[in-house]
Amino acid sequence: MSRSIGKISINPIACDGHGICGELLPELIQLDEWGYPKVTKNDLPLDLLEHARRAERLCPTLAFMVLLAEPATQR
Amino acid sequence: MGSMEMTEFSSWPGLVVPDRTSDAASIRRMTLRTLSLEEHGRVRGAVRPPKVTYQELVRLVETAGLSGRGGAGFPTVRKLTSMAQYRGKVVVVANGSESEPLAHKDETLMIHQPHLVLEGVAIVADALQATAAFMVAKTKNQLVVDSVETALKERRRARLDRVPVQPRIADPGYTSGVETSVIQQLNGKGAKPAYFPVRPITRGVAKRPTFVSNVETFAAIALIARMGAEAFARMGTSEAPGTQLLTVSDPDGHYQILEVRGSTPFTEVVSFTGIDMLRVSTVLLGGYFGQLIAPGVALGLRVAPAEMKRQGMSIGAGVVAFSSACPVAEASAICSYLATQSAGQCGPCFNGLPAIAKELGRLAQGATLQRGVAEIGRLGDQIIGRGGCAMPDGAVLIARSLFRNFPNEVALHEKGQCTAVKMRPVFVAPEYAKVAS
Repeated sequence: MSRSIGKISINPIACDGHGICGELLPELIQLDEWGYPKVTKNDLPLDLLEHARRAERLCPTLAFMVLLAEPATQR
Repeated sequence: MGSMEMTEFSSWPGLVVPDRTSDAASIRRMTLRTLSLEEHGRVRGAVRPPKVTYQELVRLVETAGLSGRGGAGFPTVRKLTSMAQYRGKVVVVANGSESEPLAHKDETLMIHQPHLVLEGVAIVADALQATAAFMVAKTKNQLVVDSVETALKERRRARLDRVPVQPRIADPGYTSGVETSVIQQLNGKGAKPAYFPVRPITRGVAKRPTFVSNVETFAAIALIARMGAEAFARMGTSEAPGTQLLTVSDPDGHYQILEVRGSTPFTEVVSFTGIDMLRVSTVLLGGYFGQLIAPGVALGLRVAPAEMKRQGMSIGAGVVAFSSACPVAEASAICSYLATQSAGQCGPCFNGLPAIAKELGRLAQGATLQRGVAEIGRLGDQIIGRGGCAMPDGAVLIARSLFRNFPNEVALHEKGQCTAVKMRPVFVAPEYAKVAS
């Protein structure tokens, strides 16, 4: 896996367990027995950035967030 | 004699002003007698506390080794320095909501010495040049409200506080005491935990940087400012500087509030309170966020959070409770209660806690488990650390401690047996305790 460029974060209060992030990012997220996402790896590698961005865009409750270590414009 | 005696410290000047009957070398009992401003001034040497700059306060709190008394034990100096760049626009909140049902030390402290707490708030508010200050009192206790209101009146008349402290009463419910719930309540919203991905909280009360600490922590800050950091630390040990308030309850559910010097052995706490350890089968350390331990293990401990942490334990907000009942029944009652207290916001909490509670309930009744003990452990792994607040973690920690510390009792229950003399749990109010008796 490529180097970490930031972290993913899920607001557990906003999350309603739609499970889209778990489908898009099985490398970092497991769905629990009720369908709620459990972050298994916090660090976001560069090669998963596109999927993470997609999860962020598609999350119906805006619970999923990509937190880049540095602003994207600087890299 | 009589009441004058209450204004004398025998050997160590602590948070609690002792009365004749409750003073010992390393423990004293807190009474419900309120100290007026005049008495507070007489006991502490002067009505007005010394002026403390931000830099001085940071040095004092660091040297004193003060850690938060709300349960998490976070170093107070780090909380202070995280506010450095926001000085001039900070809101200070003294959290006395104490929603842990077995804890009573905050309400008792606010009744006994409101001025020490309010003085601590004033010191922090001045050092951080705060724009507003709040004090949140425990719900359903008129004595606290009266004591705080009287104290605030006295302080206004003496023109003591630059920033007036605004008193509030905490919303009921277990999760309303969570720091982020308190912020929500002060913002006029429901007292439910909120999610702040970045710490410190820079957009808290009125969207301002917010310094929240437990009321005992503020009282300790006032004491440190008055007596000096070294003298405060020396009341305890290097491992456990200063003193700490405990709520100790016996198998009948009666409690006492104690101030103990750091590293005081539990054997001393037990003999001071007169608890008959021969009647005790289960000890709850740290309240519903803590763990169930065997009586023998409890007797080997000292009141030293850092040492306990190395032993894999935590005293939380200073709760030590003794019970004669079956540990499985106690664990089941606590988890059932916590399941009812979910704010209903996070899946792992409102799904996971009823699942754990249901299994422990079956175990307590000697019924066959649907998941099996190992499965309950895995259920815990699915839940822990995944709520917006730490409440779901509490249920998991209680369940884990039951399986780790009482394996024989758990095994017997799996066969439908129980060795406890008494079934009815005492750690949770009867309406939540679902035990077949």
